[in-house]
Amino acid sequence: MEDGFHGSALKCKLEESGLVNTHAIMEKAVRWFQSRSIFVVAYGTGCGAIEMPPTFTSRYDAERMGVVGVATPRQADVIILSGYLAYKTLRRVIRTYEQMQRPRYVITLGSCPINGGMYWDSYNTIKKLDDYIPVDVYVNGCMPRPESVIEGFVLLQERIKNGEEAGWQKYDSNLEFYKENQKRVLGGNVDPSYESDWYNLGDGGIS
Amino acid sequence: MSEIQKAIKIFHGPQHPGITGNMSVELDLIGETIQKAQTHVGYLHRGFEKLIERRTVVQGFTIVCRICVPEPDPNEENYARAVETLAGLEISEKAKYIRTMVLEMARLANLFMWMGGQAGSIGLGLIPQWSVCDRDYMLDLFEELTGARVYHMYAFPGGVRRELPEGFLGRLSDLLDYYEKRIVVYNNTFFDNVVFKTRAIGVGIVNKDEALKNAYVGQTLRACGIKRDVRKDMPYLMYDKLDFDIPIQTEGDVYARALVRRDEMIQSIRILRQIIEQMPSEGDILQKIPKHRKFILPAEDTYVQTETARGAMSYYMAGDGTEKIRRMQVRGPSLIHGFTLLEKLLVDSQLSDVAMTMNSLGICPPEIER
Amino acid sequence: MIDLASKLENISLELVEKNKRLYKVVVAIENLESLLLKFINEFGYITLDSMNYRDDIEDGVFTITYCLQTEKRDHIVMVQTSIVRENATLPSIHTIWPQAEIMEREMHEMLGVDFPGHPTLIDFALEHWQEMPPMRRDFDTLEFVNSLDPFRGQRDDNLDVKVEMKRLRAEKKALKLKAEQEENSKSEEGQEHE
Repeated sequence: MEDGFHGSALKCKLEESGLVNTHAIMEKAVRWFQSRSIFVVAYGTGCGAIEMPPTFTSRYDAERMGVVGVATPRQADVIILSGYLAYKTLRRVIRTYEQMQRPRYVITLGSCPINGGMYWDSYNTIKKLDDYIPVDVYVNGCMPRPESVIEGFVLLQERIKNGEEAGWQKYDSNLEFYKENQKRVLGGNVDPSYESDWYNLGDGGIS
Repeated sequence: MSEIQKAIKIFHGPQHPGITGNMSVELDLIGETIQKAQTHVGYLHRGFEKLIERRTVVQGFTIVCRICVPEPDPNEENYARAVETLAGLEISEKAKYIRTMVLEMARLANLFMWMGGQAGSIGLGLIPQWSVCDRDYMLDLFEELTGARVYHMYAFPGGVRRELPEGFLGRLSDLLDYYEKRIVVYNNTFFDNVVFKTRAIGVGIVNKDEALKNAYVGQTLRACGIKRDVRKDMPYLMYDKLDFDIPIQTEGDVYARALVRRDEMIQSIRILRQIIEQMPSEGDILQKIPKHRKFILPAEDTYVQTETARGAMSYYMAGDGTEKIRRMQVRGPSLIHGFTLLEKLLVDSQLSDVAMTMNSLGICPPEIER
Repeated sequence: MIDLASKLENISLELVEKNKRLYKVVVAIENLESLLLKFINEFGYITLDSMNYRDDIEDGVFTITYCLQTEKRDHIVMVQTSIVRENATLPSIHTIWPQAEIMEREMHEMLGVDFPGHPTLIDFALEHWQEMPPMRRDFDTLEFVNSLDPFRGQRDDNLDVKVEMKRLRAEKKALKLKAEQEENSKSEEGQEHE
């Protein structure tokens, strides 16, 4: 694009920012769109589920950020784990997380998933959620206010737009570490995994 | 041609937009008619009663409000009254008025949240948007009084923890005027709605003859025509000096329970207006209590009851002469409604009525399994 | 109000009045069922409100309390009994009250008491639980929790916050003082030049 003053200025700018090939421009555009449309699975796992209805209704409207609730994990991008997790719920959460399509993210609310919170000496809850499922955003508080939850969503949007390394990539590359921790804490009774390569190993419906 | 009918088993499970909280119901279906239902709980079990055994009175006070998530104040009230009964403390009249006021404010907030859940389970998406926002104005007042929106930690053994702020009663009175206008609007949009009436009349009828013996509580009893309420039968705090009615209906179905709750909202507003007039301006808010490790509970046990927005909740508490609490057992109103009554009501009903029935009985899983 | 003391003379028991609406009756395990039926049929306490339990490990017994309520719901009586801790069994009363089925199921899981004749003694809140029943006093939660699921580690540098804040403030002050001294010496030189 050598013609004219504006053409050369635009080429210099594109070369400076490193976006000369169109594949990178397409990726950046797709990430921008993904950050503006976030679907949340309807799953109220703990104490913090009491501050979810105010966040999604008319007073602290989360839909202006593009955040909307859906019914099944197959349609969702984000799962919100609102508070502590008992072992029985942890089995179901792992199964739900593996049913979500990639790219998928996890937001946790409260101080219980960070270091145990106030139920640290309970015989039925876990203390450190990061060993079992990769977490992207931690929102502090007990319970976090709706404004804090919306700030957590904005932080997640920035991370998606910038293309930083997300939790699902860590889960794919370190699958053995996560599966071993899950087996150890759940006593060997983990549901069959969705992460095996069923398409190539099994019938797959074709051939 | 003969019809081939096959019973299938589904989990109306923990991850579902149509259940209140985190529990599951295992259903056997033929077509869309339910043959058998079985409730599963345990997804929220924290072992509260074991946690309390390692804590003193002051440490236990900080965690006890999280036993019931939508309405935490009756838990604190029960705990405070049980400790006061065991230790022999008397609280002042001003503290009694303030605690009654906090209980009635929590009842109003919970009834607005119920209305959002009940309408959302049928598909009327406008009512949750209105009613959750109206509940938020009450949470603003709670934040001004206690410092937190949902988990207050305000009613302490011996009284309450803080004074009323300046002008608080005037703001509460303005909010009650606003609520009275809004209840007229909800009447026209929700309680007179032809969709709600068609779905709800004749569904989930509770048998009146065995209701008292099976220990059903709350609106489940009052919608069958039986007038029982802990505030009138075994009065506590200031309820024997305030003037209010207990509304009843006679049908016993989902629509009757909804009408009982609407009338209870009007009675709560009436109680709060009397409290605003009668609130004394002088008095201690907190009695002198022993320090943290010297607050010793004697080796006795007691049993206290409070009326929540869903029914009667009871605590059994025992001490043993040391500073730690020996035993505290919680029996919430949803323990019997969630197991015995729900499994009975769901037989021979439709799959799409499960969410509506659960919302109408007011089932709250955290207080079933603590 | 019902005058219980005179009507309960022929059964060996102990009667305590806590306040004007709450009574407590302590009875031996052999007379428990006949006493409960007497309360329902003769005295009008027809509702079973809850079944509470307590582990008195120093005396070697479990203390079980049945809380009954009248039809008008204005009086409560606590019927208390004690059973031995080893191989504890209680008669099941789910035929009298259907709500006792779920309460006995919870007591079986949390305390290990057996109820012969109960239809569904399966787990209530715990899943795949291998240890001893958790509400017994000799179950040590702290040891169990520390062995299974560790805390998150310390911060990487693990320094003490108060000591570090003092040191940082002293550094800032020293830098500020040095900058002022340099300014003063420069202005002195400027004055000398003039």
